[in-house]
Amino acid sequence: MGLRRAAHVAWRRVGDETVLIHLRNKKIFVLNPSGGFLWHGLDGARGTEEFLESLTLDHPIPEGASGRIDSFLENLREADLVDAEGAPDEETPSLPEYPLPAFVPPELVWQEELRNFGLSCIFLSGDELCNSGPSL
Amino acid sequence: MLEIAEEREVEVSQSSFAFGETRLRFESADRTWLSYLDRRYQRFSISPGNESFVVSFEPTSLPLPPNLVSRLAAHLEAVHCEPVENGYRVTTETSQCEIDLRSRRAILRGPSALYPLDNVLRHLLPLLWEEGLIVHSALVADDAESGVLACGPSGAGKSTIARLARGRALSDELAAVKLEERQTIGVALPFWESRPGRARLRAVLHLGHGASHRLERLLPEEALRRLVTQVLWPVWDEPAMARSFAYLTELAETVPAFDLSFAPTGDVWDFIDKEVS
Repeated sequence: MGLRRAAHVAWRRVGDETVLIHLRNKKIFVLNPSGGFLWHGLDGARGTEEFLESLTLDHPIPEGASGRIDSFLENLREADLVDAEGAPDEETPSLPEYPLPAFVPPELVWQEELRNFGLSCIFLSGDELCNSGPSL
Repeated sequence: MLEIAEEREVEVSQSSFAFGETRLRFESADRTWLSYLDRRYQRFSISPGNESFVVSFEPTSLPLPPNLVSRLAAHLEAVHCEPVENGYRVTTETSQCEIDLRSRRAILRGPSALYPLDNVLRHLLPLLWEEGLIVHSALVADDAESGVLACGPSGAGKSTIARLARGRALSDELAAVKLEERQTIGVALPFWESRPGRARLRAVLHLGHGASHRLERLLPEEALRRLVTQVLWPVWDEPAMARSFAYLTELAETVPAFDLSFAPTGDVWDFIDKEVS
C-alpha cells in the first residue's frame, strides 16, 4: 500500500511547479516538476517501484533514483502532507506524462509559514516606517 | 433625572465605512473612539444602511500599552483566535472580540484606541472578503478600468511608488483582489493614504529599491512565491484558507508579474507604463 495525498492539503500546479497548502499547520510548499509528477500519482496504490515503472524517458534511469524517490516521500510524510492509512482509491487515475526527458530527483524546493497580517504597517508597530501616520 | 442620565450614558453612536465592497458599521458609546475611525477611514465613509457586518466597541479601563505612539497608532499584540459557536473569539493581552458570523455582528472590548480594532480587522476582513484576497500592496490606477498592484513588505517602497503616481494611487498599503467576469480586480482598502476605487489589474509589481529603474518579468511560480508573504491569510479557518489559496494561484497565473527595482524619481511611472502595457 502506498501513500496518498492528505485530505487537509489543497494543491494546484502553477507554471512548472506544484504548490501545496497544508490547511491545518499553515504552511505552503512547492514541489519541482518531478515532485509534482509524483504528487499527482499519490493515490494510495503506487509506491516507488510503480513510479519508476511509469517513467517514459529519453535517458536511462540513473542509479539511486529509487532512493531519491523514497527520500522525497519521506519528506512529504514528515511534513504531514500524505497519509499512509486507508485503502487505495477505487479507481487509480492514470499518471500524466513525466514532464522531463531525463530523471530529475523529486524535491520539495520551497516552503513558507503563512501568517495573517502580511507584514503590514497597519498591524505592526515599533518600526519608524510604520509610525508615520497621523497622531492625535 | 437619574433615568435620563442613565439613558445618556448608553447612547450609542455609529459610523459606517466601506472596506472594498464590504460595508461595515461601527457602534459605540465611546464617541472619541468613533472619531479615531472617522480620522483614519474618512474617505471610505458611507451613508448608514445596507451594512453587511456590525462591530460594537465597548471600552475597558485597561491601561494603554506603554510603547503606544498614539491612540491611532498600530500596536501588534500576540493574538489568539479560537472557534466558538457561529464564529470566532479573538483575544489579545488587552482586548477581546467575539465574532458572530451568523448574526453578522462582533463585540470588541479593549482600551479606547484603534489598535484593538486593527487586530480584529486583520482577522475579520479576510473572512468577510469571500471572493478574493487581501494583499499588502499599493494600488495605482491607470485610468477608470486598469491598474497595477505594487507589493512588498514595509520599506519596499509602496508608499513611495504611490506618492510618485501623482494622484493615480488608490491605496498605499492594503488592497483587496477579486475575480469578476474572468478579470482580476484590485479594490482599494483604507489606510493612511488611500481613497475608494477599483481597477482591473494589468500587472503585479514586486517592489525593491535600486539606483535606476529595472523591470524583470516573473514566471507564475516565482510570482506566487513572492505573493505568499504579502497575503493576509485567514490562518484559523481551513475553508477560508483553501479559498484564499485558490485565488492566490489564480492571481499568480493570470496577471503578469514583475520584479521592479526603482529609484525614487518622477519618471518611474513613465517607465512602468511604457514597459507594462
